Amino acid sequence: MGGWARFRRNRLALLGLVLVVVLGLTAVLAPWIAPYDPARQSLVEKRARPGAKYVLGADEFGRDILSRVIYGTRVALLVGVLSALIALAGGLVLGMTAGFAGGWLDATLMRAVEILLAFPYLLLALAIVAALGPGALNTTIAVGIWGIPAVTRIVRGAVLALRETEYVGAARALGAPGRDLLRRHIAPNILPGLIVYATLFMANAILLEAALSFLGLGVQPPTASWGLMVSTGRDVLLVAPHVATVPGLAIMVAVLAFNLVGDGLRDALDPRMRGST
Amino acid sequence: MRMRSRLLPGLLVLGLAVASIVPSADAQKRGGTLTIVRPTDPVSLDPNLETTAPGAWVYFNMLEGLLTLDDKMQVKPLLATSYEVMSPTKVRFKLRPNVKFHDGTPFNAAAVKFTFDRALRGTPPARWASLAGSLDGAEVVDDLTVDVVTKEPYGPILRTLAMYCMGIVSPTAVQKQGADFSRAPVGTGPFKFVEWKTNTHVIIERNNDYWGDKALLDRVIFKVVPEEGARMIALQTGDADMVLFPSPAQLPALRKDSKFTVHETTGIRVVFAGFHAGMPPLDDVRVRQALLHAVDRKAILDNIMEGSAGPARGVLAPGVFGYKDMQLDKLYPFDRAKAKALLTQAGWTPGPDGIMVKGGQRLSLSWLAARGRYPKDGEITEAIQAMFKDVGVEAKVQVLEWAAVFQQVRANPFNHHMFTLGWVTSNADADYSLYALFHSKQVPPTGWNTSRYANPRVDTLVEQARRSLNQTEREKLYGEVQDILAKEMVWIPVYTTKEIIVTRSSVKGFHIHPVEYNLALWKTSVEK
Repeated sequence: MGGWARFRRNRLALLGLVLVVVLGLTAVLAPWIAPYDPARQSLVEKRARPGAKYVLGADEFGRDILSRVIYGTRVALLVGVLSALIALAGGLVLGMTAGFAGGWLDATLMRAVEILLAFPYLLLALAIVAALGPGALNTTIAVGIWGIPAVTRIVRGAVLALRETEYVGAARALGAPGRDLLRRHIAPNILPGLIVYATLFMANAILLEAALSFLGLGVQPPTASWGLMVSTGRDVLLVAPHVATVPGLAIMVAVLAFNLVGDGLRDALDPRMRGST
Repeated sequence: MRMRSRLLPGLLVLGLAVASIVPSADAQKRGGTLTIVRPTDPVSLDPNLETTAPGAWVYFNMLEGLLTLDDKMQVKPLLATSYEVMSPTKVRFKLRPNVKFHDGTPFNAAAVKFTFDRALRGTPPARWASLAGSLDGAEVVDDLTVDVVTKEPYGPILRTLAMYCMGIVSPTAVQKQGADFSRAPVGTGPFKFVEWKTNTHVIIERNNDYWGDKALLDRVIFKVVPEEGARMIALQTGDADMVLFPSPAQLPALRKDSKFTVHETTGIRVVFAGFHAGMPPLDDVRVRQALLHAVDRKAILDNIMEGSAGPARGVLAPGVFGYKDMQLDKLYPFDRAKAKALLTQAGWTPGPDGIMVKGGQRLSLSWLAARGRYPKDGEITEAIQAMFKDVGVEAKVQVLEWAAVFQQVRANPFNHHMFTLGWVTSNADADYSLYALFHSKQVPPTGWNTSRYANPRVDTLVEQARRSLNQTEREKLYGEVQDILAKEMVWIPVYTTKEIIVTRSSVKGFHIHPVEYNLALWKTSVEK
C-alpha cells in the first residue's frame, strides 16, 4: 500500500491536512478575505464584543480581530515555513558532513550540537533574538537556528545507518565518489523522515514565534501576530476575554493541524514507527 | 548679611503642633498588617542607589528628610523645625531635638552632614546627586543647627530638600553595615526595616520609639507581583489589601464595588511622544506642528487611559511650581486637514502609497518605545502611529525593553526621530524639568534634553530662574519659557498621570500623594 493511501485512511491526519490547506489559503488570500485593514484603529470601538460589525470582536484599539487573525496567519506560516527551511538546510549540511566524514570533524560538530541542545529552547531563541534585535526576520532566523541541532542529529544518525547498508557499499565498490554517494544514494533515503520532522517542527516553530512575539521580541506593531495579540489581550482578560482568546485559539488550531499532519505522515511514510510517539 | 526668608513665607509652622491637631488616630485602631502588591522589586532601599518608585515606596516610610512635601504640594518641616536664609548660597536649619534613629543613634547636625557628604562626595555620587542641582553639602553649626550650602544661588533648594529621596541616614549604621546598608536602611521614620527577600517581598514594622505620632499598622508587606491581572486577582481574593498600578480597565467596576476604595489624585508625571528636533525632517517646526494636529489626544485619554490619566496641558503637570497652561487644545486641536496643510507648506506631497514624499524621500520616522514602563505607553505609541498614518506619515516603531530604551535615550547621538517617555518633576519645581529637558547644554549624557532642543532665549531664561531666589520672578520666567516651547513644540504631551491606588475598603486613613514616590503609610490602618 502506498504512502498516500495509508495517509488517506487516517481521518485525523486528513482533518489536519484540511486545516493546513485552509490556513495556507487564508494566508495567501488575506487581503481579499479580511473584512478590514488589520491596522485600522477605531478607538471608540475598543474591545467591542463579537457582533454584526466585528464578527470576532475588536481589540483594545478597536481593530477588527478577525482581520488581524487572518493577517496573523501570514506571519505564523511564513515564520514556520522559512524557519523550517533554515533548520533543514543547516541540519542537512551539518548532519551529512558529520555522519559521512566521521572522525574529529564528526566529534567536534556533534559536541557543538549537543551544547546547543542543552539550552532550554526558549532561552536559545531569546539569546539569538537579543543578539540580532527584535523583528519578523530575526525571529525567523532565531527559530530556524533553534531547529538546526535536532535536524543535524537526525540526519547524522540516518547517514551513519545508511552508510553501512549493502547498496551504499555496492555503489562505493563501483567507485562512486563520496559526493555522488551522498546525493544519489543517501539523501533521498533521509528525506521521508525529514519531511515528517519538518511538519512537526512547523507546529513548534509557530508556537515559538508566538512565544517570542508574546514577550515583545517577535514581530513589531502594528503587524498582526497571534502571540502579540495574546500578549496585549491578557491585560483585559477579565473585561474582554475575546481579545486574547481568539488569537489563542488560532495558535491552538494551527499547532494541532501541523501535529496531526506530521503524525499522519510519519505513520504513512515510516511504517516501522507507526503508533509510536 | 542676614536676610529674612522671603521664600514661601509663613510656611514653616512648627510641624509638631499642626500634626497633633489632626484627629486621625482616635477613630482608627492600632494594629494590623497591610499587604501591598506592586509590579517590581526595589533596586535598593538606599536613596544613594535607588531613586525610582519601587525602592522609594518602601524607604519613604523609614527615612525622613529635613523637609517634606505635603499632599497639597506645599513644603513642610520634618526633621527641621525652622529655617533662615543666610546668604544666596546658604540656608540655616534648626533641627528637631530628641530624635533617634532606629538603631538608637541620636539625630543631629553631624548626621545631616554625613548624609550629604556620603551622597555628594561619594564615588560614584548618589543617584540623587544629579536631582539635587547645585546642592553642595551641609556644615555643622552646633548639634541642632546645620547650614545647607549650594554651589551657586539655587532657587529650588527648599523643594529639593523636600524630595522623597533626601532622607537622613544613621551614620553609625552606614559605617557598621557597609554595603549591606542598601538592603536594610536605618533612618528616623515611623517604620523600620524587618526583612527583604529579593523578588518576593519587603517587610517593615512600626517604630515604637518614633518622635511624632506613631504609625498605626504593626507591619507592612510589599509583595512583588509583575502581572497586572495577577495583582488585581490578589486584591479581589483578599491576598492583598492595596494594589499599586491597578488595571485601568477594571477601575469603573471597582469604583462601584463597596468592597474596594479607589484612591486617586492628579500626579506630576507627563507622558509624551518626543521629537528629535535636530534630525530632519523634524528640524522643521511645521512638520512637528503638523504631527501635533494629527493626534487625537482626547480619544487616547478616553479610550486607552479610560479615566486613569488627565490631559497634558503642557510640558509640566499642574501642581508643579512654575507650571503654566500651554493651551495645547487651542494651539493644536486635532485637525487632520490642518496637519496636511502644514505638511504641504513644508513641501511634502502625497506619494503613491499615501505616505508623504519630498525630493524622493518618504516621510518615515523611526520611533523607539518601551512597553509597560509607564501606564499604557506601548498602547499610546501604537495609537499615535496609526493616527500619523492617517495624515500620510509613517512611523516605524521599535519596541524594546525599558533598560535598552533607557540606554539609547541617554546616549549621544540618538538615532531615532521619536521616543516615548515620561518625566516626573521630582522636586515639584519647574527648574527640574525646564532646565534639564530644554537647555541646549543639557543634551545627554549631561542632562535630559533628548529632543536636542536649542533656543538661546530659553537658555537665558532657565539659567536666570535657577539663580533667582525670588519665587514670583521665577514663576514669570518659567511662564515665558513655556510660551516659547508652546510655539516650537518638541513633544506631543499625551497625558499627565493620575496617581491611582486601589485598596480593600477595610483599609482606613490612607491618603494618596500626587508624587508617586511619596507612599505615606503611617496614618493608615487595616480593620479585620
